[in-house]
Amino acid sequence: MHLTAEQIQRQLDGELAAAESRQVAEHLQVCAACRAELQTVQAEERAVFELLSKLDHPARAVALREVQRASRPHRLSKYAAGIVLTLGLGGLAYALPASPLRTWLASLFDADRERGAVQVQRNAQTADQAGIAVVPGADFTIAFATHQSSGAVLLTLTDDPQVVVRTTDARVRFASSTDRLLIANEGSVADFHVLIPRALRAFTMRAGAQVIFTRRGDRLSPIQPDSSGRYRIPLK
Amino acid sequence: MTGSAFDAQCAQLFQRHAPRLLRYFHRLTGDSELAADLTQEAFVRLFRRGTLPGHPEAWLLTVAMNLLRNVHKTRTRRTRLLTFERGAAAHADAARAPDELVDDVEQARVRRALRALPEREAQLLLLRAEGYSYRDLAVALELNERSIGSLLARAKRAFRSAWEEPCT
Repeated sequence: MHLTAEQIQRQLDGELAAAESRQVAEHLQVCAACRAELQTVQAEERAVFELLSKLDHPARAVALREVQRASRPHRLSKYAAGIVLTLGLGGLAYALPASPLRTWLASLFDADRERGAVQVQRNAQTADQAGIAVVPGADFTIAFATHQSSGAVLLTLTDDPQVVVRTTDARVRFASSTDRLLIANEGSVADFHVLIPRALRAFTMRAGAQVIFTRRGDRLSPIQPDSSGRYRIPLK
Repeated sequence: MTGSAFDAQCAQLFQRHAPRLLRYFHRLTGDSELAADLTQEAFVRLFRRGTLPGHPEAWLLTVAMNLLRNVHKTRTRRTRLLTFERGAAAHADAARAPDELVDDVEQARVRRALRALPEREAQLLLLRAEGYSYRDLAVALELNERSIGSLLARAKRAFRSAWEEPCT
């Protein structure tokens, strides 16, 4: 009775239980055919593994420090549920008919207007009407709800740690988490100025179901930046 | 387990297993950037998990392979991008030394032989070449652990025979 292919391979790989390994070793001492087969399989394995090693290039290294940095949750994320709940309840209270919250906020703004001290968050140079800044997780997606009949994303890589989106269309709404920013741009034809941290190595931008821009490591979508380093990504 | 003890164990796992995980995905996909991204993300998820799984090596492998499956699912556009990039790289390689070109031919032959195998056999072979245990192979590839030896023997034979086939 000779050894099976399974037993020979396991013996070679040290994957037999101790008792069976002893039996196989004893059999190999007395069976020249199985010994020869084991040697053939061993030589074949060495040759195959050597061939596989020809596929090795110098590859991009993965650094432990980078892994540790990317795995750290943002400090605010542990409060995220509370923040979302508070904002949700606040929104509900604001939306109720004859809401006392709305009346109270209106009175505050009216008082500020009277004093001429209302601070409108608007970029005077670009007349931005809507915008958001988000601290991204390791892999971040910006998803436009839909394509537009015109308009584009003007994307710039920055040393700032936040993803920033600004637009002149005041109707645009945003919703975000650490891995995703949703932009409700239905009906908009405006441009969007987007700043992406250079340190963000995994980034995707979508319009509807279509991926319109990606970054994986140092690899960016083959859209060429203009002379100022800005990428123009059509939203059409 | 305290946070710092967990971090230290993860760091140890990283030192031991990141290189072979990286090499495995590089050999499998031929894409060093993708291999690095998959390896990094698998370890990021391990760190975020907060506790070590029962079989960390098999867990890391399974996570990274699931990530790769997701990449394949959404790859129609990416494939075009990669083809574009590789095309550009091939032009850039035009002035390479003859020795390097011989290496490229050898490499293409090995890759062709690997592609001739059913995907699971190719994965089995590459993972075993990295020294993964039969148990890890069985978990990651959803195989019966008791038949790994004969599957490996078959995969090696099929690979050798595909490699020896003349290029057409």
